[in-house]
Amino acid sequence: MTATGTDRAGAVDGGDPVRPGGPPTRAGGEGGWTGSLRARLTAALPPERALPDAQPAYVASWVYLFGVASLASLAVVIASGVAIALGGVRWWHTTVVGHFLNSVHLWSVELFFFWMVLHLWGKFFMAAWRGRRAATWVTGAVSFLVSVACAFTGYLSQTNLDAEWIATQAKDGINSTGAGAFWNVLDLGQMLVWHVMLLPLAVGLLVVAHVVLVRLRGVVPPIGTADDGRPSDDPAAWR
Amino acid sequence: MVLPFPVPPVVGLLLNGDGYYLHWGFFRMSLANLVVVVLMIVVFVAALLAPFPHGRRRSTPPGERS
Amino acid sequence: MTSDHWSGPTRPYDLVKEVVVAVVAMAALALTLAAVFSSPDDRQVTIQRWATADPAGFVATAVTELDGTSASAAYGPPYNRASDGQSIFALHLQRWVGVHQPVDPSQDFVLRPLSTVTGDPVLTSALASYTAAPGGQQQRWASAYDAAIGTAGGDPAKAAPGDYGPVPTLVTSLAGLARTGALDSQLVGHSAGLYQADSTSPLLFLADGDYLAAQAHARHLTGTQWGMMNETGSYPGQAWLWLYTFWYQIPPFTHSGNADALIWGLMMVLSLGLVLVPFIPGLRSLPRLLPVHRLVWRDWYASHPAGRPPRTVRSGRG
Repeated sequence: MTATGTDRAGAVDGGDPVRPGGPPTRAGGEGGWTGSLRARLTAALPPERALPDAQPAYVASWVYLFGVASLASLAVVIASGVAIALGGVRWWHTTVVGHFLNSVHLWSVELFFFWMVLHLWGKFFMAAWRGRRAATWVTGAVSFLVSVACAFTGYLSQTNLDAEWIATQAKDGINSTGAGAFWNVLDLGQMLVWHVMLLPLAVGLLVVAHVVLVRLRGVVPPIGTADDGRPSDDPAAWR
Repeated sequence: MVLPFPVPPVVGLLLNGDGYYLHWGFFRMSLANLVVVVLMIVVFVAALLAPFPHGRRRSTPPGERS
Repeated sequence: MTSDHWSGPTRPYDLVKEVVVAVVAMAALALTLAAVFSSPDDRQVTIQRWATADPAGFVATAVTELDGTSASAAYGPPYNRASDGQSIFALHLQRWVGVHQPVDPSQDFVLRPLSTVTGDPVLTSALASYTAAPGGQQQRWASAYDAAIGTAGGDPAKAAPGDYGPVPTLVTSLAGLARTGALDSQLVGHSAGLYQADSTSPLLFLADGDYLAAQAHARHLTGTQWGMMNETGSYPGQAWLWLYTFWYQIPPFTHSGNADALIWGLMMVLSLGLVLVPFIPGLRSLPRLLPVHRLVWRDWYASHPAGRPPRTVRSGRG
């Protein structure tokens, strides 16, 4: 079957034969919504581009590792958070294992922000938004801000003195915007589910979008360099 | 807080209830935060300056677009 | 094949291996840091702990809940209509959104919990006397006692005799109830019943007193200590909040009653600026003017010099 899904050998139902060795296809048409989506996805990001085995020669600096370090730290944050969730809200106060997992979660969050801020610095100095990559920058910056919010709800969910102080102080800022009427930082029940479910989901979706955009657009070329490696005087190559 | 294994003395120092704080005029920062920020700057500068290993270079054949 | 429209020279790259190595390395680093340094867990402050450690402060705070001068009682939206709250110039967002988390401190923190106590005829009589009195009389009793405590340096035991009605009995009984631990769960559970997850009432009550703030101050967590960035103990905290807490330290925000609202507005604008860097003239030109990118790509530039910036870029247009 071609990437456009136009190779048809008949429908599965109605007794039409299935093309040997291949998936069922429909006679005529474009395979409906499924075929259309498949065609668009594989055209935009074929496997060789989604998982490339080569990269531009200019990708040769340790600065390029900050992004993957951020992703790896995020994976540890999520894994340790899942592990803590297994025991519930308060078990980490009373068991050695629970407390150790809390420690892993705290330090992986510190690592996540450590690498993410370095990644942001690096991408700023590289003007990584050039060449139709503004959306990559935007998704990255929004991911950072949503991550701060997610960490904030994490601090609120600790059920200890730190959580009490943070909640009673933060309420004034949030209440002053009117949002406190619906997003109550003093309500452990609400903050906990935002921390465990909603905000990680948002961070996850944003990070996936960010990484897909990097794969779609590729790593930004050096300032003043065109897509073929030659010097460029195109404004898009400079800012 | 009980740990299941013996810890080095530095950990006891770090686990005590009173942190170390530095003041510059009206600005205050914990030693721990300062260490993290300094480490970030050091790592960033090191990443910029450290030589990067160069493996084999593969050139794209003429006419073939990635 | 690379992932973009790059048609220049390439080098081999194992993406999956890089991700796997990174995850293993970060996991090892996090596990090691956790094993060596652990994490802080300062025990929660309860109403019981507060009333036991600082009974005078507790009683003084309970009086302010009755006379409406506590921070909660005078807060405004989203808890009540005692004030309009803060504003960002002409934007009175707090007032416009209104009351959605109703809290009546005198009822919720003092009178309703006391009404659950049985077998104490002195308290029952005091409560009946207080609730039967007109609102103005209740206010006079509570305000007079509040003023007397203030004159006595915050110690109710040293307050001068006066016409305080049943207020001293009520707040002293409340302190006794708090020391049993019953008040903590009563404040959480009065609206939720068996399943309790909303800590709004006990946290507001705690924050009205000085005990929680004193615990925070001892741990360098308060605003003037730049506490927003700090973690308890000697652990690294949230250094990324440095700019948010910075504004609270400088005029005009230090003396503004709208500091929270103004600083939130300012941070929203700056955050939007961060997100929209690619579209902001001047800011988006900084990278090409700063030499950092030349370090990142020094190997590439050594064999592939960059072109000359076009005139529109050199002139600063865009």
